[in-house]
Amino acid sequence: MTPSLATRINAFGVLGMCFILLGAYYVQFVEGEFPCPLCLLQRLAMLGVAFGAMLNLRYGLHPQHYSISIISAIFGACVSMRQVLLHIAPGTSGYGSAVLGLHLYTWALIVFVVAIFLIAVMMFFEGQFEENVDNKSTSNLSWFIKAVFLLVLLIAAANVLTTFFECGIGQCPDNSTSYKELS
Amino acid sequence: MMAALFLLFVITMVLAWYGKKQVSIYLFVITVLLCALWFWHHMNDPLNINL
Repeated sequence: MTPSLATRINAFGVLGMCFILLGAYYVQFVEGEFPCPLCLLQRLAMLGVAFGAMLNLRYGLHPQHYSISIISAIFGACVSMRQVLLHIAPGTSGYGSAVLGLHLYTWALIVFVVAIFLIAVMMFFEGQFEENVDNKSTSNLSWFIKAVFLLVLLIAAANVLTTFFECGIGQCPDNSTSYKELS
Repeated sequence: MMAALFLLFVITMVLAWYGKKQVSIYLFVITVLLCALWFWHHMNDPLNINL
């Protein structure tokens, strides 16, 4: 696998994570469902997966960057697994409404497991690590990579605000029904 | 508290963009550890399925 192909795959991986996080915002704002504390932790883990790929885009491809994504994905999988197990008993309704038949935390678990598998497949191809150019200047980066970076940054910043409005500076309520800081 | 974790992530990404790779990785590790700590605290809370 050539470094340019691996870079492109990383960029689309980051875009995929952005798409999922924007989907979570769709459920939050259009369908009016508030994220629970574990859901917010899953969003953080998804940003972590994206962060590893973003380091690959910014500094060149390196196994260390992939390991950051894997660590985040394992953490996210643990959190979503915990939430799935909380609702697995028959008769207990899940948190929030289902999307395509599965709750968002179940989709999150699938996303994290698939991410770990795909990163392992990516790391299998050693050719991408041969042209490792570290400390690249941002001026050498393409507009597409800059746009991807900016999009992730905007989503993360938006999460700072919406989480603050929902939870304030204290612990997030288990079952939010309003924005604590706006009411 | 959760908002602070997101804020740490934003700072991590900004530092990474401006060439402070090593600092951003340290900050990432700190953020993940704080997340793990929060998760551990949650695991030891009395069971509440409204999460």
